[in-house]
Amino acid sequence: MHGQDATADADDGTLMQRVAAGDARALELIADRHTPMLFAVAWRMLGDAAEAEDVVQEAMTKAWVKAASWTPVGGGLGGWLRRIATNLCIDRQRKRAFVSDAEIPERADDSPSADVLIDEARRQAAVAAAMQALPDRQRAAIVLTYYEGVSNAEAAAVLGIGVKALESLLVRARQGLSRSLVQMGMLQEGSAA
Amino acid sequence: MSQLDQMLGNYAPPPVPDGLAVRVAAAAIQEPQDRGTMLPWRRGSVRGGWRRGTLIGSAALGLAFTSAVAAEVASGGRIEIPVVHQMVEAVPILKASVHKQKPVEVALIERRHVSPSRQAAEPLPAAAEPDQPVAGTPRERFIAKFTEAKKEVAERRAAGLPTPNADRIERKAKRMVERRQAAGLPAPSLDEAEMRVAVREWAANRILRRVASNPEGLTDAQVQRFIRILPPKKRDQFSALAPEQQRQMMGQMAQRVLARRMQAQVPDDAAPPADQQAAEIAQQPSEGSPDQPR
Repeated sequence: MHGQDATADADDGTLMQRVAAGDARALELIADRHTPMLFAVAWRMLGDAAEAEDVVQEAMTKAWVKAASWTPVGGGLGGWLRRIATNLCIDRQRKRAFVSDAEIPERADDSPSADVLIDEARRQAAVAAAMQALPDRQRAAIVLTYYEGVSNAEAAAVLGIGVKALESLLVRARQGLSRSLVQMGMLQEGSAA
Repeated sequence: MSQLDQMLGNYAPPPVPDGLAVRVAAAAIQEPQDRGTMLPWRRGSVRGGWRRGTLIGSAALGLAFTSAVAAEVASGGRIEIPVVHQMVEAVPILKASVHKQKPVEVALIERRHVSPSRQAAEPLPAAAEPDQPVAGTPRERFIAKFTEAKKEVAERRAAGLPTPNADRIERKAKRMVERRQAAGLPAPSLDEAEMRVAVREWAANRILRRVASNPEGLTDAQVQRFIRILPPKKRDQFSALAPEQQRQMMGQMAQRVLARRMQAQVPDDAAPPADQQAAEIAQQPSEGSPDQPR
């Protein structure tokens, strides 16, 4: 349909205006556009695909409910959704009593079994364990700046802290990751820098 | 790139589950949407909204009360707003402001209607005298104007300006005083003598102006009054004339007064300027004693 194509080409601001007017089709387009990013953030933050799906669901629901109050500032709609997802993940992390770094979250791996891939899988599992061992805000800082490519200023805004504080968080996060990976034998001491 | 960065690169998320975007969108639209940004007139439910109405109401009430108090004070008590009046009466400074204006207005009204005799019996306060309307007979009014004129003459003399008519009256009064003293008669002060000269000349001028305005209406009483005003020497000379000659002479004198009056363009015979009034007086043939000014 020509109208749907035109809607698909619309920018986030236009789509959010339609969402605010109750346009479900516009929300589907937004979800299609931003779900991969939200899922990646949530998964890296939580280390669990099912919980990541829940976070994406909650973020989209908030986008639908609060569409009328959204204003296109800062990082745009993507930044707004990323902030929602990050905060949801932090909330979920805080509700957890304890997460053992011994438990490595399962993940689907459709690649064929091969000796070469075994080492890669082990490295991924080790990094995942090290990430989950980090405090919530340190992990969020790493996810946002390293994986999402968000600027320090924007990441600081997402976490509600100053840029200097974010940089301090990043330093401590990298030190924590290095320490964990060294303990797991995946990283040689002194090679993190 | 450090070894840590290389290892972090291995931390890749799994593929997004199929249909996740459709599912989350379908689930989201089941929720009701917020109304969005509230309109300014519907912000009563926002934080602090309950205070807004109270503040506006208090401000309006205060403004109304202040206006009522101002109206009562400004009206000088003529406007009495029931509740406000009681409060104004309770506050000393406001009460004083209201009642300060009342007596002044009443006093002015009474003064306008007071009779000349009563006013003479009840002299006005000294500070109010210059502003009060001069009441009484034309003679009394002239005396008051003459007193004022003397002040102006004093100012002109102090400023070095000429005062010929005042000088003439002064010379006349001085001669009168000297003659009475030489004759062994009681002599008035120079100021009193000046006053008598001025009054006598004013009275003569007044009669002549009336004659000039209505020559045919000259009565015997006016002639006799004019004779009484004249100084003794001129009185005898004038009395010796026949009645027709007296009337003729009075008519001639009146015409001269009228001519001078037209020349000077004096609008009011009762209130000529001091110097011009003196000029009129100067034309009177009134050399003589001031012992009988009337």
